[in-house]
Amino acid sequence: MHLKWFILSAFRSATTGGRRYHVWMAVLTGFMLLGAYGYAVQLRDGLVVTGMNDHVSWGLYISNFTFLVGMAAAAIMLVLPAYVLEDVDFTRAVLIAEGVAVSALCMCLAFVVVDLGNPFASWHLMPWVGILNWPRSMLAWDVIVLNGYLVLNLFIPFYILYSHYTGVEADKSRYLPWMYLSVFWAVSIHLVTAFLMAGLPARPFWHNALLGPRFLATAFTAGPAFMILLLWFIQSETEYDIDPGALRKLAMVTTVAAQVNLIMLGSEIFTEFYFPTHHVESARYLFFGLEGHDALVPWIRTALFMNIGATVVLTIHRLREDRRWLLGACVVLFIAVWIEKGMGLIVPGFVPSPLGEIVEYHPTWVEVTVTAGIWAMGLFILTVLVKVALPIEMGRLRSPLLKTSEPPVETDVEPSVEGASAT
Amino acid sequence: MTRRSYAIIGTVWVAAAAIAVFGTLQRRAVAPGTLDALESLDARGRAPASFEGTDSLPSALQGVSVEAVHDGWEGPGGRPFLVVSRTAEGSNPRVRTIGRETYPLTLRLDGAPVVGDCASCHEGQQSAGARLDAADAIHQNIQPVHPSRAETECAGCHVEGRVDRLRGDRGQETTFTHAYELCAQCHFNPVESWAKGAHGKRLVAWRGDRVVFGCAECHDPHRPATEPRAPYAGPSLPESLHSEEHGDSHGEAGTTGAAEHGGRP
Amino acid sequence: MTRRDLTFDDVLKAAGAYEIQDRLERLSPEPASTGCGCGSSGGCGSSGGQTLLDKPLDRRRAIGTLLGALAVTTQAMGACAPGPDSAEEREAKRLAQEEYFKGNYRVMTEAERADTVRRLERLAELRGQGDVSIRTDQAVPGALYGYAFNISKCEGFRNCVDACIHENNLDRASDQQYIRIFEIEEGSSIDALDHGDATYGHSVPAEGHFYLGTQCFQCANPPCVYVCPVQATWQEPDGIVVVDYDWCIGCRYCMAACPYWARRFNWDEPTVPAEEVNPRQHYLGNRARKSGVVEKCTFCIQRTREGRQPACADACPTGARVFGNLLDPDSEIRWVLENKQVFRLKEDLGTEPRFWYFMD
Repeated sequence: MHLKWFILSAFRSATTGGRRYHVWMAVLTGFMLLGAYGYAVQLRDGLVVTGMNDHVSWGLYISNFTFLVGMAAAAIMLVLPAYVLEDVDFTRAVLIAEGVAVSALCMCLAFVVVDLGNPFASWHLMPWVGILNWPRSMLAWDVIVLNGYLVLNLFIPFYILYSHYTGVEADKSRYLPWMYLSVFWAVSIHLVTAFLMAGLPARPFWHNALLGPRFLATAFTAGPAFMILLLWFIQSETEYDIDPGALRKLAMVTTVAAQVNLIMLGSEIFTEFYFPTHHVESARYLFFGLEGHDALVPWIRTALFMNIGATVVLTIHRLREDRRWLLGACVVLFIAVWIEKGMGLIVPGFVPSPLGEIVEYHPTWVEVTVTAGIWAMGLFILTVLVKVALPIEMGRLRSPLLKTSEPPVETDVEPSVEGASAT
Repeated sequence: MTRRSYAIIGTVWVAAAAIAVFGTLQRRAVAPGTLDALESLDARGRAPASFEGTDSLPSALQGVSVEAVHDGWEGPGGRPFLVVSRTAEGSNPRVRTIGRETYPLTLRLDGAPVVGDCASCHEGQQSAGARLDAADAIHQNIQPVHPSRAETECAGCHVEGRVDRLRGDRGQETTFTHAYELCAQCHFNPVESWAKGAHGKRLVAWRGDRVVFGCAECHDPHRPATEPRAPYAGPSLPESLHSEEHGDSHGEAGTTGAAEHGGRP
Repeated sequence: MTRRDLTFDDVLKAAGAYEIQDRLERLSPEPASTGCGCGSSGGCGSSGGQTLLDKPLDRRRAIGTLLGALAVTTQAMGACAPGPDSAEEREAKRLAQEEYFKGNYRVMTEAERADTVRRLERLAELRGQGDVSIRTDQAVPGALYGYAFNISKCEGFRNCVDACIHENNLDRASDQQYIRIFEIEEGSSIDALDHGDATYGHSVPAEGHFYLGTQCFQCANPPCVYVCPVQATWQEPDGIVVVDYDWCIGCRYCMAACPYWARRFNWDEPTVPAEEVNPRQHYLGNRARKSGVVEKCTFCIQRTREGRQPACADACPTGARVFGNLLDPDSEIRWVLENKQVFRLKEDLGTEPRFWYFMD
């Protein structure tokens, strides 16, 4: 019985809010509708409406997918301290991180679906009715780990929230083992995505051992940066209390990850350019341009500049502890990683082609609108999840069936029985 | 951790193992087949020497002079093969229809004389008073440059008085269909490659009787150099990959079957 | 005490839901109250009156409005819908529906294969491609195809490219070509394709250049087969790496995995003029593909399984292409491999392509 009220209360909580809330949701809905229109055009006309071609066969969609898998994996940066290390500073923030993970995963799955040429045949991926090429294909691994992680991040917070909603403490023995599992799983989702690319000898830009660790480093840079921004927003706009220690420690995580990322970048640049071989043509294309083709050069140089600048800012204690510098650096770092890990990783892998041909990639309006629509969808999901979770965690939203201690009316429902047993 | 926690974790691992086993089993069910059907090969390990249909010679080559290659010129494994010369009556195997388009099969684009055409002017196989001087319109104004410009004369290969014979260095005579014996006097390596299948054009199929063109079907013996021609249209890339260092003229990509293509009969 | 049923409103009032709403709304102040949240001193654009966003909207009215809008829209869309399909369109839809549910070609029974061939042939006819025949020939027993390309002989004519287009019903609109011929300057490394140019249009052969062609090499250790998440591509016993076009989901992972750029994608619906359609087709080869799936050279599986040579080998006027059975010790391809100096592209990747290059 509680479940029905939970869903109804959640719906009511998500559809109730002030004017800014409704404007925000309306704007997101507007972008989602725009994205839906773009995808409808793509479904009708085929992928020819995108900027992808036989040479650069993955573009904006997979770039965003790669970046967002990292965001999803970054939730462990709060889960790990909150549950495994039992750092009380993080307990108030960890559910929000899992909400971020859920919305990031939904975005990832959406990006993969819109990238498919034959999406209605997706049922071919299911193990029994279709064929899932596991364990050989890394994409099959990705399907399993992403969906598994989504399930984990949906049901653990749901269990905790539902327990609080029904007025009971969540039973640690029930969710803690899954929490441990999700810590390992989070690392694995991003490693699997990295192995997807690193396992291809045809693409020397990706075919190196550093890709997996680099993915993890950038994930733990951009993810906690976003979390800092989100938590700061929640802290300042709602009455939900977040321990300043959590923000401080998250900032430290971001800083260290950003520094590690820069070290890895330095290692990559040295290895490629100290004695350039034929295999570094893709890196040359990315950083310097190749035979007059240099569309990505301004992007990557901007990203590098932003990356280095933000990392330096975060490294300086005095600046990192200053709220404005911290938030600014997080925004800049988020954008820099998005560029570097998205278009700056996927597109150069295809330029030049394995036969040495150079064809560049320029996303079309369809790709841009669909991407914007999916980002809006992710932010929409995140907003809904946070909007439901906060009142429950603040103790303000509880199951109405709990309050029926006296029988005001004789009815056929038996709320008092359940209410008594739940307490 | 409680016993229940261990139970849950253990279940997860068992489930993962089950999925692994299941996945492997599933793969085996649809694994690609192996080359285990070798019993169809004959005792020497050769594929069955027959086509679909009854004859070993497909209809495209009916009515064409096809002769077995002379002894000593067999193909790989000592397998004899068939050499083609076109006759006037037969269908023209110089072109082939692929899909619904027609393509030339030979390198030389001029009309190579067909074996047997000579009889229309020269009665029988001999001609009285035939002189070896081919600079007239009937013989297409042949100005031989091969083997060398300086001293080429028709009698170097042709036989006076016999329009259907050629003569080699040792005085041996051979027919036009077996002209390779002459070519091999100087071009031994290409002719050996031709006999073994690394040079020249196999006409009919990859298995069964091997039918190939003779040398003169592709190379004009009087003027053997390949004439440059316009190629069929190349690929049209989304963005030109021409860079400054190549500097070639980019032909109109995207138009197939343009009229000016060389190679059309 | 009068009995009445608990309503949702009662429950929520008891639970304090309306208190929560009040408190949440107080966090983002409404324009009706004194300070305006947007910061401008002159009010929110409309002094005094309530804008649309400020109008109170209870749940009942909201749902009613949404349902009303939905009803109106559905009516309008129904009015604009196209008329009923013709009998042929209905049949095509029914066939497409049946096709949708079929499984991977490899696990089909003979009866299922016959069924799908029948449907596909009928669909091709309904779509104006005439009378096509789609065969399902198995691999020739004892055959393993190999290919050799003579760099000294290729003159860059591209007869092979054109023949392939016509034989395999490649999309004309996008100039789909499985074969690439590279013009490379003499003096470059033999496999310096990146210094080559495949888009030349001048008269060939050009002085000081040589020509080298690529296509799918039907590798013995194909990376593309390993990475497909649904096993839509596999290696047949005769060595040909094939794609089940209807099983492919279009993820293009195989295209990223191929080191030789041998696979193509149908970004748009492929179109072939009706009078140019090659009607002799194979299910795994040159039958009509659809938008959103991958395709590639199959060594003309529809020809080679009948004993004929691939279209490229047939069309080449210089005899630069040698095709045959690697398991036949007396084949020409075996002689080339044993007597000529051969090499393959990107040998160090371990893909074991079945396509060799040699010179005279």
